[in-house]
Amino acid sequence: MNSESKNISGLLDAIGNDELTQATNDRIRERKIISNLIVLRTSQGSSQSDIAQEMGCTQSRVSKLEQGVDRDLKISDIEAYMRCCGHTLSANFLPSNWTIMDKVKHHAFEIVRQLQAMCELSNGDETMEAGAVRSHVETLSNMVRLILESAVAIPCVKSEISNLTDGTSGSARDVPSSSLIVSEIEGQISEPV
Amino acid sequence: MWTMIHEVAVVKQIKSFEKRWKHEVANVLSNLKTLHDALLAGTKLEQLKKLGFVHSEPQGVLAIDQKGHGKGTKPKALRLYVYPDFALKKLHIICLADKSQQSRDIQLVLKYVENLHRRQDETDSRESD
Repeated sequence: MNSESKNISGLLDAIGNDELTQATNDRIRERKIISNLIVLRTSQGSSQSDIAQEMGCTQSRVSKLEQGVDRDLKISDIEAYMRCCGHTLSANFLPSNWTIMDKVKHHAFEIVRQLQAMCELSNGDETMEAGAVRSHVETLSNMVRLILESAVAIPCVKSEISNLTDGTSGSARDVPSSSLIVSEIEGQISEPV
Repeated sequence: MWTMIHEVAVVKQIKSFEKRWKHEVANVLSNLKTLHDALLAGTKLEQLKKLGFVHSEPQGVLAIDQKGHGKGTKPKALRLYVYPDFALKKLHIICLADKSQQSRDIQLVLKYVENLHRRQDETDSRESD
């Protein structure tokens, strides 16, 4: 008899030992950055020796770093490790009392800032402007799709969609689908070009 | 989306080892999470073998050890045997053991993987009929 779980929490639930769950979650929490660095390295197929060579240190130092905890990491080590993996370090300083909605807004404004940077960069160049328009449409289309996909996890939205699929809802014709919303928006944005 | 499949037996083994070696078991499970994250990031089998806490066994089986920050001077050496099924995106968590009967444990794990392949072949042939 076997059981399926989406993540480590499912396995810990099956074990049902609060102390072990606490100890494991503590361990995961104190190694969050290191774990991300390890995933980054292996997903690129790099070994500890490859990173050591790039960082100009020994393989055992990289091994020691990977076996440690986040609080012992130096920013310079993280930067060097990430640079070897072709990444740069970017830090967010967010108020600790921020809600999830505050974070959603923060990221939404960041997307707008990046799009505005693209607009400034493309200013005066026809090819780049056309590319910028395509990027805006793509971003909008993806955001609408992703947000609708997330909304499906809300039970009342899920049941509304299932009613629409069954054709049992009287208001089915009044509710536009996500693809229709996206295509309408795309049409409106693309028109002036 | 990679999911984890675990047998009742492995849950019993974890509970048993946890009584004496809680920090080592917590380390193994933390390393299991990192391996799962690597799979979610699209890491291939050969690349997974480059994880510092992973030992490669035959037939695509991986053994996760207890390496990581821990308490105590001499940690107990543990191995959590897992099998990532890349076709079905399922990570089978097969067995937790120490190194006292390592070769016997590996044989049991390989038997599990063989049975898994046999069951999948049977299912495939039924579906094709």
